[in-house]
Amino acid sequence: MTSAIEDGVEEADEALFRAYLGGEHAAFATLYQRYRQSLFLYLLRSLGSHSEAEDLYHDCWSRVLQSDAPFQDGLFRAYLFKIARNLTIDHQRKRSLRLVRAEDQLAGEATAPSADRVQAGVDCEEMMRQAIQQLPTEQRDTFLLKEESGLSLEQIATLMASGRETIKSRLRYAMQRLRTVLEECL
Amino acid sequence: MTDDEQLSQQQLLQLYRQGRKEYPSPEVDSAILELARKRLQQRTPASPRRTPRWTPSIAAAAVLVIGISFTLKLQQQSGEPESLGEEVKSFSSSSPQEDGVSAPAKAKKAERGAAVPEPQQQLLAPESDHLPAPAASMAQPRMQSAPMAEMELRDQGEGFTLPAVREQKQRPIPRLKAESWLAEIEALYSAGAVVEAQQQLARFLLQYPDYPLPEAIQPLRMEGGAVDGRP
Repeated sequence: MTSAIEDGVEEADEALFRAYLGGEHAAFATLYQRYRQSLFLYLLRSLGSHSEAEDLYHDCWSRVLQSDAPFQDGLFRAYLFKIARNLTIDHQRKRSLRLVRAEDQLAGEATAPSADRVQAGVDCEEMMRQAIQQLPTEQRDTFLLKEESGLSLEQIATLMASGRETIKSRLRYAMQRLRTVLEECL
Repeated sequence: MTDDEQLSQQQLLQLYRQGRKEYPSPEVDSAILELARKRLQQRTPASPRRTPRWTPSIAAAAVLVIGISFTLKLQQQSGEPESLGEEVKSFSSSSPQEDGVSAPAKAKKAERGAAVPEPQQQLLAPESDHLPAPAASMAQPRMQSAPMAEMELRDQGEGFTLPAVREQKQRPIPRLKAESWLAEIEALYSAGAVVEAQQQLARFLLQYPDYPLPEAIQPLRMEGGAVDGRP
C-alpha cells in the first residue's frame, strides 16, 4: 500500500504531465528529473549494458511523449515502468541467444565470488550488479521494480499480471539468492 | 523471517542502494527534453485560427435578437388582446402605486399569482354560473380585464400609453366594475356634485339593482327618492 505522501507524489506526477500536455515544457522537465535515475537503473540492471539501457531509456520516454493520456487507468509511475518492462522484454527476446551466453558467463563469475577478490578489495557493488544479472528474469524484474519504481506489491502484481503472493514469493527468492551470492559482503 | 535474515536483507538492500550511481548521459537527457519540446510544438497548432472563436456565438445572438424583435413587431401589428393583457400586466406591475411595495411583498404576490389560477380563467369556468347574484354581478365586469386596466391607466395619467392601449381606446368604453363605480359616485357626492352623483347612482342601480350600497351614499339614495324606481 502506498502512503499518503506517495499518493501525493503520484498526483503531482499526473498533474505535471497534464501541465506538459497543456503546453508547459517545464512541467515535463520536472517529471523527467524525478524518474531520470530510477528508470535508467531499472533498464541498466535489467539489461546489463549501458548503451542498450540508454537506447531503451530514450525509446521509453518517446513512447510516453507520444501518448495524449497515458495513465487513464493508473498511475504515471506504473505506466512509465510498464513501458520500460515491455521494452526490456522485447529487447531480450531479440538478443536471446547472446543474452544467454552473457548470463552464463556472468553466472560463472557471480556464483563463485572468490574470497581472494573480496579480500583484495573487489567491489561489492559490482558483485551486486552481477548477482542481479544472474537472477532469473521474473525474480530480477520483481526485485528491480520494487527497488527502482517504488511501486507497492499490489501495483507490481498488476503491472506484471500476477498475483500479489506470487510477487512476494519471487521477491523472497531473489533476496535469498542475492544473500547467498553476496554473503561475504554482508 | 528471523532477525538475522531481516538484518542481512537490510544490509543487502543497503548494498544495492549504495551502488545506485549511474545516470543516463547528458546527451540522452537533452535529446529527450528536446523531443518533448518538439512534441509540444506539434500539439500546439502552428498557425492561429483566422476566424475568432466568438464569431458563431455572436452570429447566434444576432439571429436571436432579430427573431425576437420581428415577433414582437408582428404581435403589435396584429393587436391581439392577449398580448395587450400581458403588456398591461407588465405595465401595472411597474406602476407608481406598487413602487412603494416592498420586495418581499412583491415576491409573495408573485407566488400567489403562480399558485392561484388566473381570475379570467376562474370566471370563464362553468362554476361561475353557480355564484350568488352579487358575486356574479361583480364577476361580470372583471372578465373585461384589458379595458379595466385601460381605465386604471387613465386614472394614473395620460403620460404613458402603450400602442395596444391606444388601439383599445378607440373601442367603446365598458362600464366600471361595481366597486370602482360606487367609489366614483361616493367621490362625486363628497365633492358636492349631488346631482351628478344621483345620476350616476341611478345608472348604477339600473345596472346592479341588488348590489349593496355603502353607507356613505345611502343618503344620496334617500335624497334621490325613487331614483331606482323603488321606495
